[in-house]
Amino acid sequence: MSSSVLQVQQVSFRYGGKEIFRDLSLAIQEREFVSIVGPSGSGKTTLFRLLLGLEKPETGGLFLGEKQVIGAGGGIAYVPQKDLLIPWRSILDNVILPLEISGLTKREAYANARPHFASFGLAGTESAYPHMLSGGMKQRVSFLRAYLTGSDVLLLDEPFSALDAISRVEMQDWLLEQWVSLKKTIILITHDLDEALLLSDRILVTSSPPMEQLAEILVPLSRPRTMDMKLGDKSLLSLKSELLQKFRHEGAKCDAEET
Amino acid sequence: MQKKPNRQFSFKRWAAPYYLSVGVFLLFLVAWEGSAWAIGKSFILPAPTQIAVRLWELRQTLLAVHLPSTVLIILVGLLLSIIGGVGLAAWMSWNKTAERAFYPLLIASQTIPIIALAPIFVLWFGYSIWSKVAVTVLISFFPITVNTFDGFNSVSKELRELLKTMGASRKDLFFKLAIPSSLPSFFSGLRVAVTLSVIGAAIGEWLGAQKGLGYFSRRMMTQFDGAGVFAPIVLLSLTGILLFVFVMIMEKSILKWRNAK
Repeated sequence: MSSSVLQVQQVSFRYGGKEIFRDLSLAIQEREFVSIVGPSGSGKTTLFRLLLGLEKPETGGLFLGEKQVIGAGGGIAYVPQKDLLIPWRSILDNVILPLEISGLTKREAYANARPHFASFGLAGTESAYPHMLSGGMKQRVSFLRAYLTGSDVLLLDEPFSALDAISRVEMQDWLLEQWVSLKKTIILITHDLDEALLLSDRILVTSSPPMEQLAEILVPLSRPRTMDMKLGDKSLLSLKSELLQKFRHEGAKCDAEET
Repeated sequence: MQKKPNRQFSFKRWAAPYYLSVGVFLLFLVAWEGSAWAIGKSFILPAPTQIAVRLWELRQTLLAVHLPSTVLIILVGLLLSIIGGVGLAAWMSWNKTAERAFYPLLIASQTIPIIALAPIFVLWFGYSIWSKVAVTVLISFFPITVNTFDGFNSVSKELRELLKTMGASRKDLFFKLAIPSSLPSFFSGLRVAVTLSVIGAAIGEWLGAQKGLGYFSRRMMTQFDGAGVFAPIVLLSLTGILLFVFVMIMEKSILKWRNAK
């Protein structure tokens, strides 16, 4: 598995005494687009926190390329659910944050960041403050900030969940374009099955803990994809109902365990 | 970015929110004036007009001698409070042990009646400026420290974690998150401290001084000069208001991102 960019090897993890992962292994390939879906409380975010080094696995290890993830700052970029922009920093000052932290001077960081504003659809917002932008724009800023970490792997935690239906569809299209042009590996947590089907090569389904493996569904759509494909394709509909069933089944189990 | 229309400063627009309070204040002055003349004993209740006249008569000595002396105490006291308060707040937020050691003491220190302590300072520091500065610091230190400390702690956990995933060190988190996010609460602490510092300086001067507005007011008391008691108090209050306005302007210009449209 030399081309896998991210590997989870036999990871066990407990949160508050509750066993969530037991010897879980999975691998993400380079430039793959993987979505993680699953009922709430089934450990999607926990998996992200492990990958980001914000939590330590009890046993097993996580590897980014050859390098083991130990502690935060291990080189995976994160696009959080809320945009988490810093309100007192201008948009330009927000996106250069990872560059500043990596030790660049402001001047170098600005020079690095400015050329990307146009391709991220953010031209003209450099000196604005976050509260002046729409939700969709703020997510783009958050995405650009993650991109500027220089990391090859981007983790997206329900980045569009707070957007209205129309901006969400726009942002999905946009993300698809970005993924193609930026040549990054993307892992996306989402609750939206259409979103997962439209965007990903592969969908991982979390289930009720403890999990030993994640169910996997390959999305048979060819690239490049468009919105029309999502709406028209028959096989996609059956895939969606399959996914929905898995989802419901696991959701019921999760609920049963929580009560 | 669109260019903002170049708006002229308009006094009318600026003053509009204050009409009501100015009106109430004027009514209060009229009522005061009326009752003062009705009582007719200016050493007990001097009328505002009498105070104004006295203020004018005393302008030379008040403005040249006593006001500068008091303002010096206020500024030195505030400066020490800011340095000490922000320093202690930063230390407590950086170091949990320091927080556990000092925070409860800081809160408990507020139960000490500082006015009762003030005479001791005169014993310690004599009639020098430092006995008055000590009272000022004791009274204005607390709001600055507590507010700034709360500000340091107001950084969201999510934002801290996000920066950590970018490889941020503790120093990065402190300078890029904690300090900027503490500024709004630092300023609200400073606004309270500024008004308190005027009171602190006046109390300090009451108890032992050879000049200053508080000292002057008290000296007039012994001479049954009611208007003379009030005249320096008017100046003290104006000093407090001016300092307050100055802090507000500083706050607006430093936190200008809040008002950006």
